[in-house]
Amino acid sequence: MGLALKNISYQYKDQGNENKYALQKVSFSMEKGEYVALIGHTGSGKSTLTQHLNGLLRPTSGQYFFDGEDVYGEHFSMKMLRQKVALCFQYPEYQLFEETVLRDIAFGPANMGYGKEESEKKARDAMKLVGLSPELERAAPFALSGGQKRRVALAGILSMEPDYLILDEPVAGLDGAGKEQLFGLLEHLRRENNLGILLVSHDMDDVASYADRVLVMSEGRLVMDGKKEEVFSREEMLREMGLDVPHSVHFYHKLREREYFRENKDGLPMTAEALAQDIAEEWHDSRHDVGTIL
Amino acid sequence: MIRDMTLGQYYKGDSVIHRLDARVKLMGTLLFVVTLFLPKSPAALLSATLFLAGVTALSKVPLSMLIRGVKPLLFLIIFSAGVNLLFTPGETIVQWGFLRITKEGLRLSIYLVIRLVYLVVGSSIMTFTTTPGRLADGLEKSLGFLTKVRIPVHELAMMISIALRFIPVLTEELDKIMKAQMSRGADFESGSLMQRARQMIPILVPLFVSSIRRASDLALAMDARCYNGGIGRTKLKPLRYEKRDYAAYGVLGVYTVWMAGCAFFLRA
Amino acid sequence: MPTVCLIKGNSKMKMIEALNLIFKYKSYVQNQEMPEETLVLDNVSLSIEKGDFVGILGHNGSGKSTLAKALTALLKPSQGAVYVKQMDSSLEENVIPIRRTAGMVFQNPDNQLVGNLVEEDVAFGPENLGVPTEEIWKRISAALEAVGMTAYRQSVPHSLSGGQKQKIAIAGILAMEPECIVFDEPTAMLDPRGRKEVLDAVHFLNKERGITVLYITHHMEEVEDADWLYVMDRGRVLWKERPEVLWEKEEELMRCGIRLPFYRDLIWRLRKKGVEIPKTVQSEEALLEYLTR
Repeated sequence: MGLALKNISYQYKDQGNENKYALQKVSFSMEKGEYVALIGHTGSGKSTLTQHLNGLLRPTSGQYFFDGEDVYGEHFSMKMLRQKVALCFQYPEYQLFEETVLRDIAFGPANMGYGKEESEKKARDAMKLVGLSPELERAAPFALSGGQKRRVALAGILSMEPDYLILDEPVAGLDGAGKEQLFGLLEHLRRENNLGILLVSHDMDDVASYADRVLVMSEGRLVMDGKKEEVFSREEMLREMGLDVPHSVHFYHKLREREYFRENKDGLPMTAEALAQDIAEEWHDSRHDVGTIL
Repeated sequence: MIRDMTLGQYYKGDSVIHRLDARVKLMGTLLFVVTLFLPKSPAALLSATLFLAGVTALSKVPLSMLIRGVKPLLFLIIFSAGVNLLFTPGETIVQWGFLRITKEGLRLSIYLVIRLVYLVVGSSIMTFTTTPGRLADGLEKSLGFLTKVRIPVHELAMMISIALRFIPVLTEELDKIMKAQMSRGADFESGSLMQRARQMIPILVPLFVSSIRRASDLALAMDARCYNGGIGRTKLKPLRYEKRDYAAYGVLGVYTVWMAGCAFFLRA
Repeated sequence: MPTVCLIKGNSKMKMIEALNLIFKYKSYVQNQEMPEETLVLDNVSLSIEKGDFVGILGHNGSGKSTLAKALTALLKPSQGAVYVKQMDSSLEENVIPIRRTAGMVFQNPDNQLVGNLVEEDVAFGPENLGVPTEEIWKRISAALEAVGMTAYRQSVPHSLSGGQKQKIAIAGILAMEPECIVFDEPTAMLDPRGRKEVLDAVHFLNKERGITVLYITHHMEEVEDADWLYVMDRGRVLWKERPEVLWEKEEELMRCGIRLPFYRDLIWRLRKKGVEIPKTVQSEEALLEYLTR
């Protein structure tokens, strides 16, 4: 069950007409309810990979199974794949086109073959899911604020009732508050609807705070796949690929180097809060006498 | 389709043709096209062929690039040739039912195909060997006199140059929007003509909205860089005639007179 | 050109001054006859001194972009006045001199490049100003060198990365030889590498070339070492503070939708857990030093 890629390679011709690999023998699988992050610097093949998962690109070689079915088999419906494994592009609000919010959100279900009423019902459900008030149904998408437009676009994808949601930099351009709301929504969708989430992001702090598992791509290859604590413990290796580790991990490693902690902690702190907890415990245990210093 | 468009594309090089002043190339293209459509004669056609072949060889633009430029217009060319072939009155050669091909029709359509292909190739040589910026400069300067009759020549040249700058940006955007809508289940490949036209709305509306947004952003950025119309502007690369440009004008003059002569004295 | 005028008792010169700016716009809403009036800037005053690096923070829609446009004479305020080097922006004859003195770099790298080649784009500003041809060539070389993009002189803008395009946009402003540059969220659309490239270029211009920088962002870590920080909320300036003073207002900042830089956030959390951190700890390195001393 779930998504499974086996040895997916994708070749293309560059400007000099030479064959290049955008993906080379990529294999991985994920299940519903998982929260996976995909990291790698620009040009490492992340977006080529996500477009394969959604069926927008066909590989040069390799296999892809969706719930055990061969996606490249003769009788497989690509439309079904696009519905089940939904893809949210960067700045999704740039694809809004309808006259009203409701009609735009109903575009996906209507394409899937649902009638007008059924599509609109799904659209209304999706609006509720992303926290858009019903009053906005008749509003023109272009008259909304940036944050609201992004919600409408996301609702337009959720209205297809996918099992998996792939998001390319979903918080790009949002401010601190908007960002937290969106991540809160994703967490809710995962918990309540058992959605599998694949988050493509450049922000390691976000990845460490929200995902469980991390995939690392470099030059078209999948070079790491593991729990976030494992992946981020290899700071050196990530830096060589031009990637950062979360601030909390970086600071923790520095503290370790300077032997702040008397004994090794169990896991790496993935958030500032977890790091603060670790530091505070050590601080109080060792009974530092701050009073005399100040 | 939009990817095959070679019009407005620049082929990097350093040939004599590349180095010619943009005004010479504009004038040359204009004269070439006008003389091409003067009354036809085999001698004129032969001269045009030789002239075009000569310029192509000098420009060092590969033939394959030129052929690619003709491709997107192939349908148009075949269509107009077909109309001429079938609907020109005259001496009948072949006839199926109401369709008939006449001797005059055949000749007319052959001439038409050659002229249209030469027209496209000739103007592509100009765009291949001139950067869009230079081309706009050339247009602005050679049509400068039109400013006197209140035609905004500078603004038009600026618009052309900016349009060319944004072609790759918008092509990429179009691709992204199409993919985004496809992943929402949109289907652009099936259905009747009417349905297909309707299916373009989810692509065209976002593309249009985005173009407007880009245009307004760009206008502001141009303001921030003190853009204030053409008055008082200097140029990074001002157009200046060199010896080779005068020589080229000479060649062009001879060619034009010869073609005019062919048209009026050697009429078939 | 206006004469330089020093203010008594202050050796620093005012680069930009805004007095009680108000900006409103009217928009027509569906099914409503009267236009709706939106107040974007509400009595904003600020003063920026020559050579300073000033950050403007605020969530989306707090009015910071409108403010930036008003300060560079791209927008006329509804009320109030803007002076750039003592030039009043409300006078038509000052508009071009102000724009060449205070340049502006925008968020979207694609939408601010005009030229079909890098060098042609950088030349756009000087061409508009009527700079002689030979001088334009010199300025292109100097501007591209300042942002480290000399090698890309003959490139097509579309072939560059986002960070590189943004540096070309900066070079395009530099070629007008401004004294001040306003950056409106220049890294918002870039990846971490591009973000770093642009930030390094901005700091270089401020430190090495003495260019006054006004930097608008909602990424606080980008303005950690600014001379002054302004925080905007709903069209108003809430605070003008030195960074070290502002960081102490964690909770208020969060309420404005602004997140603290990592180490400040950490200090705040540590204090809540009873770890005392003295106010003198003002950097990540200092915090590390303090904890492990």
